[in-house]
Amino acid sequence: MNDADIENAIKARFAGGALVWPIAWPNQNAPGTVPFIALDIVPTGRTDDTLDGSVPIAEGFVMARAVIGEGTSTSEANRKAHEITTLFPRGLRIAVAGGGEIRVIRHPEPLQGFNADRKWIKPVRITFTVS
Amino acid sequence: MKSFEAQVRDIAKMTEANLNYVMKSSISDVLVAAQTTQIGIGQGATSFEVGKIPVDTAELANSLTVDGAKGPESYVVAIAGMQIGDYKRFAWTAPHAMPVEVGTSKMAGRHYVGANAAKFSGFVAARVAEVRS
Repeated sequence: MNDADIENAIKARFAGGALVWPIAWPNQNAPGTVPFIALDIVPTGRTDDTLDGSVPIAEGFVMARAVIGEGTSTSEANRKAHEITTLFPRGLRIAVAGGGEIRVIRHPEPLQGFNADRKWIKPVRITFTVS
Repeated sequence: MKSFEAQVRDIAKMTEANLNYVMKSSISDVLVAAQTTQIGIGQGATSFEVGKIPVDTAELANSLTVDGAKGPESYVVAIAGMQIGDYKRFAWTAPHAMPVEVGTSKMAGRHYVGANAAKFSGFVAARVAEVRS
């Protein structure tokens, strides 16, 4: 279980999710045209409650952003955000290549949309643990 | 020598004090981490760390607001007066607070709130370990 394997598993879930819009992966340039989806995958720490350190649990979240042009209806971004939430339902388990599995531990949270870079951005946070 | 009843009362008081200490310290840990600064792009930064607040003009860090008080350390007094069971909302009110937190179409998020809030249970565990030792 390492960050590369975790990230690959999450990216594969997005890539296979029939989301249609292009996806800007972490550290890879966003497409020049809207709409698209941008992703951050944020590890927030590792815990282990066992004395012998045998059960590490990685924690983190995905911040997905549905990006559309400024001046268009926000419903397009809202619908895409909803599609993302249904792709990662609470309780979902995704196998990680290096061992263990990702578990979505909360219902994905669509957050307040906002304007930036002359675009409208609708964020969705997906919180997970890996063990 | 104190009576058994008095000793139990002392333990109860100490337990309550410890609970308050853990609560206040671990909430403060989240805010301290969230308000930990890094140089912003406007100051020439070429990289960034997730979980730290970027500073160009300090508008964002200075916009932290709680209970009507605003300022980079406004959380200190608010947390000091908290009791177990209280509800507090800490808000960064600068216009660019949300874009910096979650990212935009051109920039990854800094997650200065989300990444540190997610560490809350770890902060609690560390503070519990302190009072146990």
